[in-house]
Amino acid sequence: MFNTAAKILVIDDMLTIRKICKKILSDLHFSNISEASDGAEGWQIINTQGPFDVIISDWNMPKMDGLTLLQNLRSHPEYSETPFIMLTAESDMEQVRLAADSGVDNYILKPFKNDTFIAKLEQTHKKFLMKKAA
Amino acid sequence: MSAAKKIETSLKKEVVELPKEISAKYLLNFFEKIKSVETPTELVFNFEKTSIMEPMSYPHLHRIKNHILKTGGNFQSVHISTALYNRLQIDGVAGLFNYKPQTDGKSASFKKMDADFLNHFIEAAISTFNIQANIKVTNRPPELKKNNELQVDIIGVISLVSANLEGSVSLCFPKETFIKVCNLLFGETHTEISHEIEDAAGELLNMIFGNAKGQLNNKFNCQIQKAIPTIIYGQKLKLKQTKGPTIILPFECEAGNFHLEIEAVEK
Repeated sequence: MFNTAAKILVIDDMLTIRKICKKILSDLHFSNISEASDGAEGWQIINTQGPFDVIISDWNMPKMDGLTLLQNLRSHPEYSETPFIMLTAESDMEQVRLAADSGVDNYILKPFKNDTFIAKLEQTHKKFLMKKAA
Repeated sequence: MSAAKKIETSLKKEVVELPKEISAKYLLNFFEKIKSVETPTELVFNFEKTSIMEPMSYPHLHRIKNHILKTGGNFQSVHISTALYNRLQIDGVAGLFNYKPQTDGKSASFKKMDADFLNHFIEAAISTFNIQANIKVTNRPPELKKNNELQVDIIGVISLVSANLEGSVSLCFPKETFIKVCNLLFGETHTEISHEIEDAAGELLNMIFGNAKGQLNNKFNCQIQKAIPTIIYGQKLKLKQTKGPTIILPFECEAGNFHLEIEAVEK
């Protein structure tokens, strides 16, 4: 299962989604949760408080979108392996492929059930541990 | 007739009417029931009522399909909704379902709001409230907006720009309905529209718009552009669209009534 000491960063310009994510994570006993309201703030937090064990980010945000943030992470030597989950309402297949090509680890489509969120978080975490062990 | 065809026609056919929500437990139970059956079967999964499928159920579907194929049977899926099929594609498991989505060749051809176009927004609204807030929503017949007298207290607005159309989509709530929706969405008790909950109008609209956009773009190549919603909050607001005719899509639920307003004109 999860290491509940994991550092998690939730990035979304909507407080609604940050609240929902934080509630699910708190219910799972995660205690180290940070939040940012756009990609630029997220990038700043990563650089001052990172690295994070998992980043959960929206795609469409002002200042810096989630895809640009993901691309920044993947080209950074220290953060290139950080597990990244895109939590978005973008369901166009072209967009999904673009995220996959940019190195997203998992994709949660809004709207989402709590169970789906937890299953994808677990999948991402397992994938990361397997990659690390290899 | 070929030998392969002869085998196919001799298969015992079983149509399974799947529930609204498919859980891992449901498919595991199904697998447990059929795993000892060795008779070649043509198993048809009917997804007509299904709107949600738990990702944890995919491995069990894989086991069911493998068992059917191993015993010389066939497996296929029918009536998967566009919204669910989108999710399965995103999860990388659509191939598992032996399903061919239907297209009707309307590629990029929406130059006005017809029923097919509007239905994607109705479907997306119903599934957004159901999945995210566990609220059962029903739609009432669409109406053409005749004046600006409909008064609401909070509105999420997003611009609609596609290959052929431009306009806007707005999600409009009276105060009481919005507060009750937020209480169900967050599992909290709010009595006023505050900073803590106001952007839910934008986020719910974002989900409705994103899902309708995905379906229309994937199915018809409408090329609807991404957009970020804005929120308007006040007392007894009247929304006035300026580009052209506006369709009102009314909805009702346990929290009260709300509606979508869609304005789209040919570019």
